[in-house]
Amino acid sequence: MAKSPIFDTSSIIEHSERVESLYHSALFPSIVFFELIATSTDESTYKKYSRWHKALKRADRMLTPTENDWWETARMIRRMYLGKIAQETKLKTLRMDALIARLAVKNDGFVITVEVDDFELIKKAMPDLQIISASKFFGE
Amino acid sequence: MSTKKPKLNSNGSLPTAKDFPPPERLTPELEELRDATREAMQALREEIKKYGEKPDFRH
Repeated sequence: MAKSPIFDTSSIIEHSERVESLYHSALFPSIVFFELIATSTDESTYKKYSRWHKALKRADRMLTPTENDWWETARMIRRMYLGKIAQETKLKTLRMDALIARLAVKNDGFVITVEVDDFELIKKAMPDLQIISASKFFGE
Repeated sequence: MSTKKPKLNSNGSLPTAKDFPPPERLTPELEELRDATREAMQALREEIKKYGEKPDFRH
């Protein structure tokens, strides 16, 4: 089964030079842009993210959650909550990552992340999720 | 978009970066994506260098 690499924000921040070289194959969740834009300080940086965002959309490499993705992600978090897979305080911190995980499963991709432990937790309630650490993916 | 997507590696593990070679020919769309990605990643590095690690706004 064909798989596409999907970067989360942690992997983009820590491996930006290497992420750069995979522009042709990677898919980018819109959640990443929320996290990058919300924390960008300079106007010039914002404009560059905006150009990148447009280019990704034009190339059909942007993944955006639908209403159903939110629904399914909520169901997954509910399973974690009811199954006591993680504490409430931890579940609150997993919302964005859970959406990225949902998009990865739905689009036949795998998540590349620095925060492997968080995604491994999500995988307990989303068994089809595939994860690889950024360092392993980049062969470090 | 017609970029090659590898299956699982022969050893059954997930593909790694080296399994995704760049396309031999770039469409104008991919050229723009290459340049825009490069520019954005450079801006990200410069901003971290200038202001330090990004705050975590995810939660």
